[in-house]
Amino acid sequence: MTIKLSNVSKRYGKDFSLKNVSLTLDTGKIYGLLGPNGSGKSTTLKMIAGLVYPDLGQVEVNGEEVTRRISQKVAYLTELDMFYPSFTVGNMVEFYASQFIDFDRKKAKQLLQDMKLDPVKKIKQLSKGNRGRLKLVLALARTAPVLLLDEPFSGLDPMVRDSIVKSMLSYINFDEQTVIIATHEIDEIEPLLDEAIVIFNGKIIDQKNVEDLREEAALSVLEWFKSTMAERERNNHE
Amino acid sequence: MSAFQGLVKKDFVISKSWFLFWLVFISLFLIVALALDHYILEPLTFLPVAVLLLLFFHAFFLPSMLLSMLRLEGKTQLWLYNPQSSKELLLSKVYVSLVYQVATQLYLTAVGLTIYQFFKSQILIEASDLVAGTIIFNLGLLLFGLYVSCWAMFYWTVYHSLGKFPTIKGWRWLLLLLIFFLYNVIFTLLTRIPGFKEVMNKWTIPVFAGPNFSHKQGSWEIYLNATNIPVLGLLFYVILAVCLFLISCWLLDRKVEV
Repeated sequence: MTIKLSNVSKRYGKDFSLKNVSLTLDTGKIYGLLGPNGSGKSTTLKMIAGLVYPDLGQVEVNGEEVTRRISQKVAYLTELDMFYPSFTVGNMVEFYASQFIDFDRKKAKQLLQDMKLDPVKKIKQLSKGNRGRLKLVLALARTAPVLLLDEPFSGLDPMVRDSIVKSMLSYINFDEQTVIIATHEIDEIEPLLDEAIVIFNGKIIDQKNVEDLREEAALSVLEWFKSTMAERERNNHE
Repeated sequence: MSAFQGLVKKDFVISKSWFLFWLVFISLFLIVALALDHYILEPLTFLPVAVLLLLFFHAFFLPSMLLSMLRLEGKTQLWLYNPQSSKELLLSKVYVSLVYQVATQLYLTAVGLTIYQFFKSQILIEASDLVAGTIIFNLGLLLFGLYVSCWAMFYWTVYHSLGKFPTIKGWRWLLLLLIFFLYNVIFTLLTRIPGFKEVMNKWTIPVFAGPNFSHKQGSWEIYLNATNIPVLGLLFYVILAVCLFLISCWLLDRKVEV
């Protein structure tokens, strides 16, 4: 399922969150959307999820203009809490199962076990780490063709991060799902990525195939990201 | 469980504590009224007034519940991250608020009828008037609550749609006031068109809905007067409510960002 952003701009106040961004993302690939805070990563994902709309340009998923109802095809994990505090873990899973036809209850049950989450526990009683795990359960239990993960490691300790990466490896359908991971934690996701995209000040400044980077430039994604950002800084000063 | 049932169940779970709070509040209000009646040895002074007062408050109970739920949903993106149509998202909330309103109206009506049973001799009202009055009053409250709810949904969606324009973000409430003012001006101008009122009042349904209360020597005397409800006027409000609901749905699908 192809995702296409054509000349997309979005402003919050005087600042551009995205400025004339054009991007095409293909089926069966895992993309890392990398950039510093406020670079436009979250806005890009929210636009693909139909939660914010471009001021200019167009966002399409498989040729269909994105509106709120694209959530049928797009599984989205936000860095913010997206729960009803009075719900239990089980309530939340049941609610998702009732709303998304592609939600796989068996997969959710297995994920809950893997993540050691108790279905009867109230969400407001969960630690930050466990809330992060629950968000991942809800996103990975869907078989949606597009999976968006916004800062999946935000505020989580290394043990939780490790379990999240393992879950991704086990539960992502690498052939059929298009996955976009927006993060600062490049080291953790590097083994998963097919493509890396750098976004800075609302603009896509570079995109590379991770295998090419390793084989041709002998660079890790983190090294390449740092050199790209340094070059950008130099250009800004000149 | 269908998607709509899932939404309804979720809306019941997120709002049940407010409903229970309201039930406790009205129960305490009635107990205080009963205690005051007992204290002054006048059994029909505060309690019937308390029941009627609480029932009148219910004109705004349904929209208040609805707005409380929308306010909660506005705090996260969870509600809008949903493939169901906006009609279903909003109708689920209207349905849950309506169930709460029916439940509390039934509760208050039951309290009112219990008072009547105990003090029949001191409340002078025809049995047929009592039944007709109770049904019409309750139905009227529900319909009014639904109508105000459509305005509440409309204002909520307009308010959040305007949020993406930074220059007016801080002044959104002024625009809502402007819409309210413009609607009233247009409506007043319409009523000034010669013949408009005559057309609107051409077909009417007589409804015994205008109660007259008088408190004489410890007894209540209640009469119901016939009120003519204009059919076209009623139709106008129904169409207006449907239009407001549909505009809210469109805005929710295309413009609202929370």
